[in-house]
Amino acid sequence: MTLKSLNFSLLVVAVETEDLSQLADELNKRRIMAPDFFQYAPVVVHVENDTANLDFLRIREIVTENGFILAGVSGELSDSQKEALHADKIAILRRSKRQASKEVVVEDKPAEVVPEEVAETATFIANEVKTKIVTGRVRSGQQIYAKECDLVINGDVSAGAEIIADGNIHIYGTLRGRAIAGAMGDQTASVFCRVLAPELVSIAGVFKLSEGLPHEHLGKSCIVSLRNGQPVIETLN
Amino acid sequence: MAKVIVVTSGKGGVGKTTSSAAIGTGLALSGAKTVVIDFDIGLRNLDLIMGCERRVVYDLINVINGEANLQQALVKDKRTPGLFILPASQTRNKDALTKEGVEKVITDLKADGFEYIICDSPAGIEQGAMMALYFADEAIVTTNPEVSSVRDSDRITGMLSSKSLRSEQQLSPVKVHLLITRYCPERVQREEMLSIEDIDDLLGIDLVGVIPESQEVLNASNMGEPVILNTDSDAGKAYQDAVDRLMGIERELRFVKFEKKGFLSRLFGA
Repeated sequence: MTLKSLNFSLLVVAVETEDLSQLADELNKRRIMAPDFFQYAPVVVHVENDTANLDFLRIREIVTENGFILAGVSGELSDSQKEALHADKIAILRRSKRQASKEVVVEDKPAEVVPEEVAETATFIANEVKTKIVTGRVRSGQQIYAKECDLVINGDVSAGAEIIADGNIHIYGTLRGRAIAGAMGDQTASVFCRVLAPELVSIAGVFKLSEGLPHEHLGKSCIVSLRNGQPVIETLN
Repeated sequence: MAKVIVVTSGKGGVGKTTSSAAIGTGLALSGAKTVVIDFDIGLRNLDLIMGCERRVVYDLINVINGEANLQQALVKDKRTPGLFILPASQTRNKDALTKEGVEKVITDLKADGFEYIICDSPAGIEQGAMMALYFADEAIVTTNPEVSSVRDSDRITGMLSSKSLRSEQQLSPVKVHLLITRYCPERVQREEMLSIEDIDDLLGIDLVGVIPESQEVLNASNMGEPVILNTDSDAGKAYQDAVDRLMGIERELRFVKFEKKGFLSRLFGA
């Protein structure tokens, strides 16, 4: 048995203020979208404010209450925040700085602080992984997840089925179930389908239920994407 | 080569047991040695539908637990030669069904020369239903022309392709047939009921039969006589067609179009 170092992709949720109700809302929203998928999913809380007096035990409670597991806390943390985390036995995660440290060596500026990166949730590069292709009908109760890539379904997606991709979703058939594109937060992801009749479509956590879908698009070939943070449905021609 | 056929649906009350009894009887009438196994442990019904409830001594769970051998538990049908029933236990619960136990029963039945082993599944997607479908070579998914029944059928069809022995061992997939029961062409025409086309669109499963809604089905159940034996009834004929199609004989769909009765036929009751 040896101790190894491996990389994992984790869900990250940002916390900006001491008011934790936003965190609860965000997690709850995700959970409602795909309860089975997010059940016991590890999640990292990214602290964006090093002066906030955060109650980490309460954060862990909120995460657990919503069915997730707190994998740890990341961000530029103050000493008091770090102490609190150690006391509560919560892991502090550091983002991989490989890229940054390489630059430091080349340019020979050892003392420079790495600039604070914008907390981005889409941490994968879609081209690295091949598109996942599923042939045949996805039936009620089945769940398909294309991790860090696009998903192509060559068939219908039944009501009660769930297809999830970190990238785009293409359906060469009727979408009656749930389609969740950009599951890791990629706002540029889209859902394409031959016949749109879904229970729910979601792009990067922003979702539309069948009730909220404009009638003129139902049963048509459509693209669903995000524009200014709002889901937009356009007819495919 | 013996075939294990599960009759399943997900939803309850759609006609699994009625269909198991009718199809089992039909297959036996063709000359094939057939057994119908009741997997609805704790809610034993098949024996009533087949009219052998007074001759049940041992059951499936007794056999699995080694308290009786297969020959003791099999109930021979009095009407149809070559037809046997393996009843469910009424006193145990579904957890008494083990994969190893069911496997042994099915292997023994095959060794005993049974050509068709019909597994009458309980409703739901729990242990009993999973055990009924696990060893299946073919499946008859029973559906009523109604949205919740169709969705449950969709779910169980998904399980057939992921939770069966054939899927686990990556053999050729379980062959799934769709059996629509309680179909009422008149109500379909009035758009009160899903049509065959609607169901096909939602499920995409090959159709093996459409059984029309019929008073004869209830009468047959009450009498403990599989409806297929009533060769005058539409439902009986439709089940016979379904059995023929299962055995690879082509049959036109009957009783699926609503024909408004004309004045004369109403007068003469034709």
